[in-house]
Amino acid sequence: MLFCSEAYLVFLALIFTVYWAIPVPRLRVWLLLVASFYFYASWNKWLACLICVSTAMDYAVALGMDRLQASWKRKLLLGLSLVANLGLLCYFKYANFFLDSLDHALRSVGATASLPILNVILPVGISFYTFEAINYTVDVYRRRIPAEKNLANFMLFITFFPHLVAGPIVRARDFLPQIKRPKRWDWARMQLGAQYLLMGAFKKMAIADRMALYSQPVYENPEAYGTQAVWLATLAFTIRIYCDFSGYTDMALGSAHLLGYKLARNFNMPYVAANVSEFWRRWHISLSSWLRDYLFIPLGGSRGSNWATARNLIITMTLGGLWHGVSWMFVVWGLVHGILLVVHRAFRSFCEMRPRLDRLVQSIPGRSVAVALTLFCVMMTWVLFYTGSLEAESALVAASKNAAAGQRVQATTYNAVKASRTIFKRLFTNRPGFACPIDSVSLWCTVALMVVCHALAQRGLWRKIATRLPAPAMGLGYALVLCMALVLAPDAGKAFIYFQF
Amino acid sequence: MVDRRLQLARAGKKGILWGVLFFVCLQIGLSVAMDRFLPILRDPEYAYKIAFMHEYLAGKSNRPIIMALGSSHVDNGFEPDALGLDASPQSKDAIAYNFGLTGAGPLMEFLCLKRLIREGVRPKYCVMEIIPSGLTSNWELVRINADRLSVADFGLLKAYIKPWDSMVTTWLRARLAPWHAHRFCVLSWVAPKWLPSDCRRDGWANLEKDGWLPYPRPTAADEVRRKHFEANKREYAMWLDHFSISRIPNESTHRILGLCKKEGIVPIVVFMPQSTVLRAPWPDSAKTKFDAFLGLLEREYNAKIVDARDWIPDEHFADADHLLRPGATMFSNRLGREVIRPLLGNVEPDRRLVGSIRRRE
Repeated sequence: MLFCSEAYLVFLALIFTVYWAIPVPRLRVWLLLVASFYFYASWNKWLACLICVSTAMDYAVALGMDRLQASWKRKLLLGLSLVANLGLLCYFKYANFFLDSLDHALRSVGATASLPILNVILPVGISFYTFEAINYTVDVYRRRIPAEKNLANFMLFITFFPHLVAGPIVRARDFLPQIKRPKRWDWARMQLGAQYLLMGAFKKMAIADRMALYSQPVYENPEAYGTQAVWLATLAFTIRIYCDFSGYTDMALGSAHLLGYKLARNFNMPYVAANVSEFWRRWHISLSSWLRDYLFIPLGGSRGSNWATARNLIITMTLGGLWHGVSWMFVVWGLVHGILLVVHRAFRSFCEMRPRLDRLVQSIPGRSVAVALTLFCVMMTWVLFYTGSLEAESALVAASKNAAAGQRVQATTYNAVKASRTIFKRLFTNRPGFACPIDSVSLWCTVALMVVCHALAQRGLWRKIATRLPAPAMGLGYALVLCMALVLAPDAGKAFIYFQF
Repeated sequence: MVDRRLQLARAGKKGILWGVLFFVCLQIGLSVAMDRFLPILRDPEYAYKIAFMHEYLAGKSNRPIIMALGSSHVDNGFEPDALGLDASPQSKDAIAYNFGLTGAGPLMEFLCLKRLIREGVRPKYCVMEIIPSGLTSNWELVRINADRLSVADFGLLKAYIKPWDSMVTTWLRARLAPWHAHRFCVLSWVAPKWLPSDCRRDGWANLEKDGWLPYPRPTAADEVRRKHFEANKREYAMWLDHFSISRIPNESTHRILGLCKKEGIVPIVVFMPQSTVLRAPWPDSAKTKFDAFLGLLEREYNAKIVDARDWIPDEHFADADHLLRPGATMFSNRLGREVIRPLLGNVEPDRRLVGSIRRRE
């Protein structure tokens, strides 16, 4: 059930109506729980059982840790939870990937081995809900939060349908207290929820899916396209991934607001970041903060030497890349971002020792150059990300065919390394080929719209305008935004990119 | 603080309610506009045909009109300019227009003729296609794109559809969110470059001025033609073995001919040219039923039956039954010479051309 589908609209409308009609708070919790399981089961009934079992296990582990005093016993329980959650993640998401990589490596040195083929379905949202479970058990272990005694509340924290399949990765300490708080109908909140839903629908349907018309044909077959088409496709994908993911998040936030829950913001205009460090404080905030709190800091963070900090950054970002999907290109993507973060730290230290240079970098022209350079670096890394995701999709198709055949009959048809190399050659040398698959006018209109919206948001003008507009004008604005989203949606709607993670 | 919250709550409520109101108005507005003023947002093929027709027939209202109705076979195959009529503004000759619509059978032909009469266009002659294989099933109910229909069209179709039929539910769902259901038509009209080529609905802007839409490619590769022939041959054999005339094509053929009789329109029923692969011998049982059907049309409606199935050699077909440009010219030349011009001169066309399948087989 995609967020931008009729089925979800009907589902949300039904749950919303029944939810606010029920006066008893406990019943509302149970309603949301049933709705969330139904939502998840619409993808796959059996995997809904899996999430039930893993959630129940984490609930029991946390209760155990809360009651026990002995440090070694608590550590043991934490270890059990981590092994179970990461084990599930590794098995369902990475097992076939590592087996295929091993098979490929053995073949390349002339050896063969009869490696098993696993028939696994990737559970939707597994990367997200396992991380939520881990953050909960770790926080209980560190005694930052008490263990949740009510199983229904805990299950709702993990399975709450707005954030279940593609985040944001919710912290237990932010969400669990909200379940117990009484919910009152609030028109201002309903308007906020509606605004988020509209914005999300517009970003997804009118922008992200439309940008796919430019980027997908080119990245699937880069040899056929010329330099200009490849540049436009890269720009289009840069816009697409932001609007796709932030659009999904907006719809998640909007759905949650309509039910009286607040989820944390996941994006804060990442493309105006002046450096890669700032980019990661604005992009997929819930993941980057999770990686910081549960990986980077436990590894030592920036407390040690520069080399130790650099090592920690690179390990964190590389594993963060691997989290995104089953392709070595994601690992490379993460590694590149790790290196960029290290370079930025070094440059920042360099500037701090040179006040004039520091002033220049902080000036408006200096910051503009920094923003442009950061955006350029991020765009180039998206080439790796996109080819990686196309390879991962192709790997999934091959895996299911191999599983059906009982042997490795089909290799992954898309080679991300070769595609990336071709794309970079076309980006930096003038190569002939097909032009853009569709006229670039809608791409440039989209770029202009994004520049204007970002400028308005940066200056806080949205809020000023919104509070001064009379209600009919606001209403007309909502109606026009929704109509534009409906009109500009291209053919078949595409699944959200981050659903595959 | 409480005042501020109340203010925000009031503003929120009003904003949402106004938003819902404007959204509903925009949906209804587009729905009404599509039905009454802007058929191009609902049925662009029909809209382009009617616009071109008004332009073509402007200043020629005193001349008899020959309207060709049918499917893409007519769309590609009927070339009005090749009928041998004088289309110049000073002439008093009859004027022909191609109103073939993709996927149209007798039901859509009936709808189309009703729409034309509603628009004030009354042809003197109506060349209408019958596809023999199309008489054997209620295929049009499945094939008709419900999005193209107006409210008035549904009134005409109510004899054939039940409220819970998929055509009705599809149409209702489209009308609940017309901005989405008709988005390709809307964008093709206002910003065609925003659409990929396979989603554009403005291809009919390339119509000839007389409504003819020549086959887009000048030739067809032999291999492509051969593949089409194989596919069509298998399909054709199936319906021929179990030939019987279904209710909806039968009734809609009678309705369109009844309308012609009522409006004083001379009907010319044409079996469009087909390649050899579709001209397999008919079993006797099929011939008898079909002959009876044609005989009834001739007697009740004075319909002129033209069997043009073997008029054109295979090399002038793009596939089994769509004519390339030279084929369309050849067919139209012969139709004009042997049927249309004699009729215009009040001479009955050669009996060798008309009549039953039995006489020809």
